Amino acid sequence: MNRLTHSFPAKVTAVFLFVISVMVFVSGVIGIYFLSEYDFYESSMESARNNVFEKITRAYANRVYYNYLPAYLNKSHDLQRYANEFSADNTNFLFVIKDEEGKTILSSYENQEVQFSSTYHYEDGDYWYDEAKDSFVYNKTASHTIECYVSKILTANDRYSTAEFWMQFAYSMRYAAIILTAASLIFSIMLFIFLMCSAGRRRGKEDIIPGGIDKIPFDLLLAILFVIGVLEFAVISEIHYTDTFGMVLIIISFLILDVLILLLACMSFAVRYKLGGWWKNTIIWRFLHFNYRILRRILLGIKYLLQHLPLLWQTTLGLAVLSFAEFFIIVITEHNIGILLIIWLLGKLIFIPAILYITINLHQLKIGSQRIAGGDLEYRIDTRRLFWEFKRHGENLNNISAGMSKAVEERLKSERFKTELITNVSHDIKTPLTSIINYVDLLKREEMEEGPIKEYVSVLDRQSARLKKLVEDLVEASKASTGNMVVNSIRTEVGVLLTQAAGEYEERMRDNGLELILNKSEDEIFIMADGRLLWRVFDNLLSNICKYSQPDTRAYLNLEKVNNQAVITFRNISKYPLNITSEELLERFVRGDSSRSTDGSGLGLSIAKSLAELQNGRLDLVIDGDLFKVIITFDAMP
Amino acid sequence: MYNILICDDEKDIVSALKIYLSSENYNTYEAYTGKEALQIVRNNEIHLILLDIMMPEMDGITAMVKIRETTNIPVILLTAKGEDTDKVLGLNVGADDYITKPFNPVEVLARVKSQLRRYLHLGGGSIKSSSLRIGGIELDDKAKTVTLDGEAVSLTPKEYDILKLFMENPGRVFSPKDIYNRVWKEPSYGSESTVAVHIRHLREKLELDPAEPRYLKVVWGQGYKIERGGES
Repeated sequence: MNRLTHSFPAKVTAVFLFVISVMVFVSGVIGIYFLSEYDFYESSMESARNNVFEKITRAYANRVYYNYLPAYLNKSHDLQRYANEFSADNTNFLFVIKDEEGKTILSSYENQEVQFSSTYHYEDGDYWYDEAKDSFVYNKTASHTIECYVSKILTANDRYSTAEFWMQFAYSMRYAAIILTAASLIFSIMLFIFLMCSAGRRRGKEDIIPGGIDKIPFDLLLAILFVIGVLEFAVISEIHYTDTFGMVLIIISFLILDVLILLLACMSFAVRYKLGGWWKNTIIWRFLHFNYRILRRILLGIKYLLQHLPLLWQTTLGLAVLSFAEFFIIVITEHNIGILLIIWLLGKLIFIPAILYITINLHQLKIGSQRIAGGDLEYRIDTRRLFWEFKRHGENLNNISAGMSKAVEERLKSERFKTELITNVSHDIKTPLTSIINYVDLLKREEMEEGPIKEYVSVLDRQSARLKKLVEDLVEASKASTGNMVVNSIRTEVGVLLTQAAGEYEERMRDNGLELILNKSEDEIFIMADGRLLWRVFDNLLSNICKYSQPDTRAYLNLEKVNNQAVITFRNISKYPLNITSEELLERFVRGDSSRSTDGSGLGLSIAKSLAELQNGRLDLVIDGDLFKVIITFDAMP
Repeated sequence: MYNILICDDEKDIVSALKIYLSSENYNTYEAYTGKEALQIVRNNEIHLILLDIMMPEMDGITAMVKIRETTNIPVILLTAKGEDTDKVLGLNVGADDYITKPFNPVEVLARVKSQLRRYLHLGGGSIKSSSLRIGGIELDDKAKTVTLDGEAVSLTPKEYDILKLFMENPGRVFSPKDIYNRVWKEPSYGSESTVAVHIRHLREKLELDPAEPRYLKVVWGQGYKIERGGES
């Protein structure tokens, strides 16, 4: 196939065959049209033959009546010619001419066997103007009847025999014609497809190569074809009815020419299509394209100018144009209040929706900025409905919140990572620490004299215990501060929890020479909290009190309901001067004393604060001289 | 002589535990991976296992599951993982107790002793009709005595009454006020913290680690209870 599509002779052959095939198809269609006109498909040969014979017979009868009869009556010199023409040798047409009385005037009928008969009446007469009646009057002068026959056996070579021959042929071919037409149509289509495929192909070349014709703008080509068609039509209408045979010849040659031209156009189109952008090589497109470029430049220029005017100037310009238009309208309609009113109304119809639209845009921006300012970083302003500067403003706000939420997310990720790191590292620290603690303990069990070695072992013991506490606190602090902790908040009675906590610590307090005084209201106060976590808060705070309180003082633990809030206050007198701010104390690893000699990690307060916040509570520190105060606030429940 | 298997990938920890357990006259076996532990359990008569969770080749949880397929001996898990979820997982797959690293050797010994006593002496032992039992705690109301894992515990009368209240109602949470009303038999008038102190003492006497009680639990913000099935 590839070889065929690229072969020039194959293409020429295909064109040749295509033209023939199309011609066969066209003639087939015409033939079928006539066949069906003569009822060849629906009725028998007989009626079709009668149809045709009727037409021929009338023509012969006319010739007999208008030519032969006058010659016979006048005995003119043409008589012999006509007698010869209508002799049995030359025609199968037989006739009997009778006058009004039925008397035979002229006859060629001698009782031969006939297959077709027909009778025609002729009248002679003239019109003359009757003045009395003021109208034309017809006056019959003579009337004749012609009985016509066609002999059964068509011996003579005349129009009957020709018609009979063609009729026989057509009748026998009436179905073959359909098949032939259909076959030629299919063949034409196949050839057409082949030609379309091979269009632009050349032997030995892979690419599509446009020919000279393909360089002509396509619409120009179509116009040329159209002009050729018009010219052909003019020629045909000029030579009409002069020469039947010549006309048929001309029509056929024109038809072939048209088929060729159309085929050429189609092939050219195929080449253009294969090359892509077939519409580009048209005058119309070039024209539009050229103008579009100019128009676009102008529009872009105006747009650029407008966009780069400051917002204030844009608005000013718009208002100025508007005012001028209004002024203009007022001036030209100064005498017609009605038109002015209509225009005013129309103006309002445009302006009110526009202003409402602007207001809606502003409202949307306001809502969006409020949400973003309120911390909802996931919120995005729907900028599809916004326009102009509002759209840009909305997009900017969206970008801000996107940037912020990304930052927050990254921060959370890094916090989580930190917690994970601390947890894992502390696991790894715990294993060697276990060995240290165990072997220090074993050392302690060894019989040892009082002296430096025993002292060293006790230092090891103390410090390893501290290290253990530090590691545990570190994990807890990192979990609490990143919220990496399960909180099961339920309705909890704070009073009970305080009683329990005080009970746990009473003896330790006493051992440290402290007195714990618990003051709470008789009413039960409920809050939403996770008892276990809240106990850890109290545990840390009470443990701090034990460690850092001046001995022989009192520590107060208060619970009261203030403004629908449960307020828990821890108060104690510090052993060490608190030369530090409360903010600094809450920082991790900071302790009130600078010596860092006692046990504790310095994380207790920070953990307590984080845990309180995890349960939606608050923890505040107040330092007043040596008075150290921790205030925990929770929303009270009804 | 009881045979105790110590299984930990850290050699020093195994040696230390071996020293402690030997000093208490226990016979020890050593394993450094879960596989070795399984091998020893199969070939020897072991009475208790101290099992580390994070080990190469086969971790403690997997070894635990395999051991439980064949034997019922007490297993105490040792691990650096202190998370609650890890503890629950360990106990769910069949561990009897759980000790987090870094541990106190005295506590380890106490727990070992407790588990062995319960496993060897009290397993299926008959309960006197007058006595109540929760886990290793037995309270004989006639004799007014309390034993923990078979050893007598001396309690004050108030502590005894509180414990009796709990043991008669296992799983039920009593608020400090409730306890005061029922034990002291008078209105509390704000002296509930006395209850808290008593319970603290009770915990110190009955629990190996009062901060992580097995039986006498503090329900913070609600009250106190004794666990229905002993440890959980």
